[in-house]
Amino acid sequence: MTVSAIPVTRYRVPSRGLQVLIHVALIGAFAFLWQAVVDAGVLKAIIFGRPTGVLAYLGELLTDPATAGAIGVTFAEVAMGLGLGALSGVGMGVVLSRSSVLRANLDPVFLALYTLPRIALIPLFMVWFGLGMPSKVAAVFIHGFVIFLLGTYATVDSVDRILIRNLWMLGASRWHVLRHVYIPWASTHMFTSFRQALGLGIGTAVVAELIGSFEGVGYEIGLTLAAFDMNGTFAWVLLIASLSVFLDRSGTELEHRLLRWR
Amino acid sequence: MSERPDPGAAVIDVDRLVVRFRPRSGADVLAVRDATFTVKSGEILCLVGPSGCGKSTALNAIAGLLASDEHIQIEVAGSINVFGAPLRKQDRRLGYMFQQDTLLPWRTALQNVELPLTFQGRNDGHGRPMELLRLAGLAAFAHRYPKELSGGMRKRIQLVQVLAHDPEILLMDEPFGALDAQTKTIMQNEFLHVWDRDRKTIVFVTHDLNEAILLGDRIICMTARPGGIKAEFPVPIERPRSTETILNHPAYPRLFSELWNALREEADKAMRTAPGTGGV
Repeated sequence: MTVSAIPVTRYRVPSRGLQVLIHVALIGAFAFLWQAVVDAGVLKAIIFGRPTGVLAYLGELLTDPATAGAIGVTFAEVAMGLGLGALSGVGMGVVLSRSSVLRANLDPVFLALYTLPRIALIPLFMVWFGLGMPSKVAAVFIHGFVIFLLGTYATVDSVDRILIRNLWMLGASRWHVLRHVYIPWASTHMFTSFRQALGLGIGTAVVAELIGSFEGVGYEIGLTLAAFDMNGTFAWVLLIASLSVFLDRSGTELEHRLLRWR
Repeated sequence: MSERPDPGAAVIDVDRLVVRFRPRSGADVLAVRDATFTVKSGEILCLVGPSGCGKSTALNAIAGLLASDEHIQIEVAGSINVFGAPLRKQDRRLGYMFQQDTLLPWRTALQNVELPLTFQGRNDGHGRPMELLRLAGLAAFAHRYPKELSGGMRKRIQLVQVLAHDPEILLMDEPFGALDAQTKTIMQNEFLHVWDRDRKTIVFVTHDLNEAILLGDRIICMTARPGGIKAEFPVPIERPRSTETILNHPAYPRLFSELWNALREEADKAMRTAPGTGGV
């Protein structure tokens, strides 16, 4: 009697090095195509820029000390806006989840704030706070506040009550319950909220600077646009995008380190 | 350890207990009606009854876990005396073991076992929790998180946690109910072994008659909801017991069928009335 071998399909996950190689190849191919099309005159360089020009501009940006200044301004706005938003959002969330009466009355306001296109409020903030950093901080703050508020609701609502009952039977005080259940549980949600808010926050700060300001990444992008320097626009966008991705990845990495129990 | 009442003295006295749930939306439910029973020092008392009959509610009443909130109002009448005095809030002498997983997922096994000592300000770092884990054969898993452990392992650690709490009376609400049959049998026998060391007073809620016979000194069968006391059965099987010894014991078949007859009548009644809410 013969036993025929059953063919086993092996799915091989490409190694990390190979993945990077594929990504680089794809981006390279796209850049090459872009360059060729613009060089051939099919697309106008003044409207579409060209990769070699973008690279050259990026090189200048990276060697110019003023670049760090512009990035510093934008990230300071994001940091302050998100910091204040997280503090007040979490604080408000904790207070409201403790009082069903307050929550019933204030929730509609916050939900309105959530559904509203918040970017439309930016010009209003400029009228109130001027063209400097405070109006940008306010714009980022609104996003942070709403995201952290809803994140806190989700945390409080989703805590497993049986854990609290068990701790209570073991003699835990209210403080113990907060310290051992709510805060660790909240930390998982806060990472999610933080990542959501970070992406939105950076975008909002840049848009707000574009609308009206005299410093920051958005302002620089506005200058390149006004000068019809598409290479410059692409270079700035590339720069801020890589920084955002880097921050997001760092946050995820930190989350995995700190929340090993998941 | 505080001095213990004489073996056989009543340590819990439940007198005409009535529990009524009044949910904010929906109909009122009378969960327990006129339940009167005592629990004696050092015994294992098993409460059995059809699903949703209020046995867990009676246990929670003894634990002081019935609290009204914005969704439901809970009315409790009658009296519950523990060690001869009315029930206090968060009485340290009472421990509770839940059916659900109650280990904190963000703490290791050891850190979970340390919690009751931390709450009572007794966590002097002298390794008592570690010693308890070692006694239970769990030392190798002390630094694992719950997600890294099997269901049976988590249940053992839950038991060690409540042993670290060191209550004089342990209330158990179908603690092994969610385990698979094999793990459950192993846990029951391990639990008997642990109990035999210091013979704490146990009130054990279950719907598993084998479990009740294996563990109990007495078994109280409750009626269909509203839960009252239908009948009480002493278990005439000497200790130490194990799953094999009870199954081969001459008293076993008769006790099982008596219990089953009592339970079946009530289970039939329960099936003919509204579906049970269970587990409140």
